[in-house]
Amino acid sequence: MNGHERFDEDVAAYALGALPDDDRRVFEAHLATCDACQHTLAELRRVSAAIGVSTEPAAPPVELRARTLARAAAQPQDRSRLAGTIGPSAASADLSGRAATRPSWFALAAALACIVGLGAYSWLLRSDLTSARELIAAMSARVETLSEQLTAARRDSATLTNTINVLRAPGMLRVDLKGQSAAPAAVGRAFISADKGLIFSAEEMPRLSANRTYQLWVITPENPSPISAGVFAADAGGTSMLTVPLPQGVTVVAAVAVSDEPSGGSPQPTTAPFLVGAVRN
Amino acid sequence: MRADDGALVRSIAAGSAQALADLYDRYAALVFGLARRVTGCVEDAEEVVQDVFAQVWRQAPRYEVGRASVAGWLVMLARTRAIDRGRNRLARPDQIAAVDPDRAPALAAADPTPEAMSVAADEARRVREALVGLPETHRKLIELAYYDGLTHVEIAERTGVPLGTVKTRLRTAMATLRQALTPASGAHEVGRTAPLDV
Repeated sequence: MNGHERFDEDVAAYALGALPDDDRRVFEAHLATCDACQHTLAELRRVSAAIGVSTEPAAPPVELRARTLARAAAQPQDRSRLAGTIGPSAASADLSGRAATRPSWFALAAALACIVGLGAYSWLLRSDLTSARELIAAMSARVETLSEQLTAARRDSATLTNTINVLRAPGMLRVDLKGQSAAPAAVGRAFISADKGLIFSAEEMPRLSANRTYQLWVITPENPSPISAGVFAADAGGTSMLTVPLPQGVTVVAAVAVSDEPSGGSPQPTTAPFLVGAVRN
Repeated sequence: MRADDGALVRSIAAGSAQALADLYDRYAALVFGLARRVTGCVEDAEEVVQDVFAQVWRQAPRYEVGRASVAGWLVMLARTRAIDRGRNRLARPDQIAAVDPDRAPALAAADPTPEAMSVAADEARRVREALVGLPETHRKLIELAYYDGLTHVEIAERTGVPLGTVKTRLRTAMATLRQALTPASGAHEVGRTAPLDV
């Protein structure tokens, strides 16, 4: 079978949600750079939705109506301006346009502090877009309660300003990184702006042996070789966070990965990455 | 004439409980039918219905009308939640048994939205007809993926069909269903002549 035929099979399974996690990550990395697969996927998602819509209906119990409506309407509606739009084919998170409408960057700073502060809880959520957006919406609702944390955050204003510049940059992209077989519990997230740089945070990082370091890599659509974005460490709890400029000459990122390398880093990865995430389009 | 689906969601977004009730009346049977099919359990299906409409209420202000059909959004929510509920259950070998081919066509008659949903409903009906027209060896795999939420590896384990064959059949079957998205131009003929015998 030729190189792309495998992805013709993958896109069919992906549209049905039938790709196992490992294959899914590989396919999503490919999808990010393949117009043909994106086009096919858009149509196959319609097929998938049509299967659902044409399922034989069944009348629910009559009393379910009142219960359902009462429970639904008892909840607050989600009017967060930070949250993106939703829908069956919603594309990747689009915080940038909305961020620009915020009156100040303090709210963004608070939202970021909350993203980091929620820690393990947030990572436990399914990484699908809806959950992530619900989470972001919940966070922004808590912004008012975060003024104390904000005061502390301002002490780190240099770092924070860089971070915010990434977050509010037009075209900012978010990437969720998933732990691979070497570190299945590890999870990470990156926010990328072509102009302002890259924010990376991770939890449950695997322990390093002596004389080893973590190294962050970016993969561009046009070059299969990973490009180093820097080396970094984790705290005792296995948590890392850093803000770095994108490597020289890089303007479009297709995927982000982290590997375990000798101290000082390597020109190219010498181990399989244990955290990987593709930019979703 | 009644409000179309998009208008209902906009009214829900504006806080109209009546609009939510209208949407429920329009789609609860679809959501319940799908959830029951996936979970095989009435109690679970009732929970899914409640969850889905609660989520619609919460998220309607952020729903971008026109991005895709409201029905498509609802079935996506219902399927995801139903599969999550069913995932902890033991495997249900009965689900592998041949699916009653009479089930699907009943939908066309029961289509809840003849006018407002006509485009999406037509598309769904054509895809369903194409699905029913697939060889059982292929249709069964699509149903195990869609309704049981199985990965291709799990489908291979469950059915004893080699993994490579499962992948090829899913691809071939989805390609046939994809042709049914477009009306006319002999989609069925193409489907029949596609190389299904793998």
